[in-house]
Parts: sequence; C-alpha cells; structure tokens
Amino acid sequence: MPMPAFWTAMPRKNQLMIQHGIPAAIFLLGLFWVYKGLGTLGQIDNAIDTDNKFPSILQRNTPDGIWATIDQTQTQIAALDATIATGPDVAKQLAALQDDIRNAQAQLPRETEKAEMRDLIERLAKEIPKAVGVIEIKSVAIKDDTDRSAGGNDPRTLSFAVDLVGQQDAIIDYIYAIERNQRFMTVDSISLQSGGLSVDPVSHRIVDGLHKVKLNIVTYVYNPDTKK
Amino acid sequence: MIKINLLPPELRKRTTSINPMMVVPALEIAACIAILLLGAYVSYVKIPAANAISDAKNQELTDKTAQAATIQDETDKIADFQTTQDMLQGMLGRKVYWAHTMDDFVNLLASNFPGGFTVRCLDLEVTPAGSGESTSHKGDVITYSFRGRFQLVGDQNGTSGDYIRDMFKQIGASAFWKGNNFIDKPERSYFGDTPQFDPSIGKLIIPLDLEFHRIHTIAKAGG
Repeated sequence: MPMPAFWTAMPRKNQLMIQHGIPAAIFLLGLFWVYKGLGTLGQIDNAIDTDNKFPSILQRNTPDGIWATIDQTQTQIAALDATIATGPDVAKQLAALQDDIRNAQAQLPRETEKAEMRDLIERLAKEIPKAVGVIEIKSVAIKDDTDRSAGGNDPRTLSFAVDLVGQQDAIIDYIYAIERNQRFMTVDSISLQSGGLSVDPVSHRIVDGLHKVKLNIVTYVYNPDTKK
Repeated sequence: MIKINLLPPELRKRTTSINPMMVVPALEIAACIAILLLGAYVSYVKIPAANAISDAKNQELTDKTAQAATIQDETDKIADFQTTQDMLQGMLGRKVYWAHTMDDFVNLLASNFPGGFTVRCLDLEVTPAGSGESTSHKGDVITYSFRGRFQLVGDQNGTSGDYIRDMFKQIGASAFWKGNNFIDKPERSYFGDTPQFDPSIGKLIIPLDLEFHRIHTIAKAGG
C-alpha cells in the first residue's frame, strides 16, 4: 500500500515519533483510565462477591472505593445480624413478661393519671361501708415532686395531702384500702386529732365525735418515655 | 563440505517472514487495545456490578436496621421493665403499713388496764423520724415517730404512779408494741407527769405526751 506523500516527505525521525508516540499516548491515557477505574472500584471482597475472577494483583485498596463502602455496610449488617439473632429469644422473653409488665405498670400511675389517682383516693373512702363507720374526705391536695425527675433511677414522687373526718374503724379501713390497693400508695404520715366525746341528745348515749385526720399519701409517677 | 553464501546480505533469502519493523507497532497497538479493554471491563462491568452489590447491601442494611430496631425496642421494653421491677421491689421493701398498727393501737387503748383506769389518745402524729419530710434511713432501716398526746383517767386519787407503771407494762406486753417493731421501751420518752384530780367528775386525770419509735427493715429486692 503506497504511503501518502506527506508521510514519505516527512523526515524519518518524525515518522518514528508519530509511529510510536500516538500508541504510547493512547496507552498512557488508557492506563490512567484503568488506574482511576480501579481506584473507584476498590479492593473486591471475595467473601461477598464469590463469583469474582478479577485478579487481586490488579485491584487497588482505596478507602473511598465502592468496595470499601460495601465492606463498611457489611460490617454494619454483621452488627445488626448479631442483634437480629437475639430476636426470637427477646420476643419469647417479652411475651413471658407481658403479664408482669402490665402488673407493674398498673401499680404506678402515669404522668397523665394524677386526676385518676385523686379520684381513686376519694373513691376508696366512699367505698367504706356505712356499717364500719363514717368517713368523709374534706380535701385532697397534690404535691408533685418535680425536683426528683431530673436524674437517677428514683421515680418521681407524687404526694396527696388528704384531709378527712371519720370514725376510727372507718379511718383504719380506709388506710388499709389505700395500702392494699393495686396502685402503689404508701401512707407516709398520719396526723389525727381526736373527735372527743359527746352525748346524743335523743338517746342520751355517749357517742364518739368524728376524728380529724390528715394523711400524706405517697405514690410514684411512672414515665418510661422520659427515661430515654 | 562447507557451503558458502556469496550473495550480498540484501539478496540473501530471509529465514523468517516477520518484519521486525512491523512487530513493534503491532505490539504497541496490542498493548493499547489490551489497556482499553481492561479500562472498559473495569468501567462498564466491574464498577456497575459493584454499584449493584452496594445498592443491594444498602437495601439489606435498611431492612435489617428496621428489623433490629424492632428487636432493640423489645429489648428496651424488657430493660425498662427490669428497672421498673427493681424500682417497685425497692419501693415495696420500703413500704410501711399502718392500718394494722393503728388497729392494734386502738385495741390497746380499748383493752382493760389492770388498775381499772382508761387511756385516751387526744391526738396522734405519725411521721418519718428526723426531718419530718422524708423517711430517714439508718442503714437498712427506716424509723418512724409515733407521737401522741394521751390522757390516763383513773378513779383513785394518789395512785398515779401505779397507773403509769401499769400502763407502760401493758403497752410493752401488747400486740401493738411487740408486733409492729417498736424499739426501746414504751417509757423511753416519759419524763414525768402532772396528775390532776377533777372533783366534778371524781376522776384522776394524768396528761402524757409520749413518743414511740417504730423501725422498718428494708427488704432487699429479690430477697
């Protein structure tokens, strides 16, 4: 095949430069392309890509390569797998504890149940049978111990200062009802002023006056959501 | 016999048909093609494949994160419950019951005292001992103050010493004292009295301010 005239007219040295320079330039560009590509790819993890046949000698271990990201993701997945592996046991344990959890939650009022607690305190007095004696709640004041909500494992206390009047057996029954209620309540202090004695003008019998009592009833607020 | 080729070198017959002048360019082109093929393989096969694996792994991570979050939530519930349970155990261990104590106290006052006198309680204060605001802890016990203003009413003037002695004896022997963890002796807070005889009713009245201490041993959680 005849060479073009400009080629034959070109000095031999220039011919050689073009003849070898162009392939060399293409090769170098290709090499750069491969180098960049291998950097983007990263070191292939054969444990993940089990079908990989790409020789490791050609691979580059780059920290921001795709495979580095895959390895990081895989590490996170492995950590999650450890948590997931405990799933059946956790579910079984939780199922077994459901009754206990309900019971525990039933014992402690929630933040939103102050009014219900106050109602309960009044209702327990009303439920004392008349045959046992008279009891009447005069007032209930709620004292919220917000200072203790800040830290520690101690629950926040909720105190109810109850003023009542009543006969001794009814008062004792009322304290019993408070202490034995499913809701956790404890009588922290009692102040009793004797009602004295008087004479019934009709029957002329000596009757006990109603005792004035101040009770400090303490319960604890259960607020699991605020613990986090 | 020795054969001698007398032809000039340019006319001698070549032993090979490959022109060395063509080999180098051919190798250069082959090298270029190889490097371009490798580049194409990496860019259009391996990188897309790696991206696909990466996407799959990310999806797997998302799914498993959600799955693990559910399990973590359940684990947290159990941990919360354990905390609540421990807390409840602690609170139950510290809880002091007063209804039974008050009942025993009322029965004590209503009982027959040996000298034929009666004891009335005019007022009563039950408080945590110490500050009076919160329960005081002395090691594993909580102490409560049981303080009352009493009136001892008897028939016979001049026997107040007997009345007092018998009263404390009966209190000390009672279920109220023995069954409710009162400590020391009933007369611990007794520092004298001023008996008054009321001629209008013919009774000897001895006012007494007494304070008893009840201790409550804190039950250990799980114990």
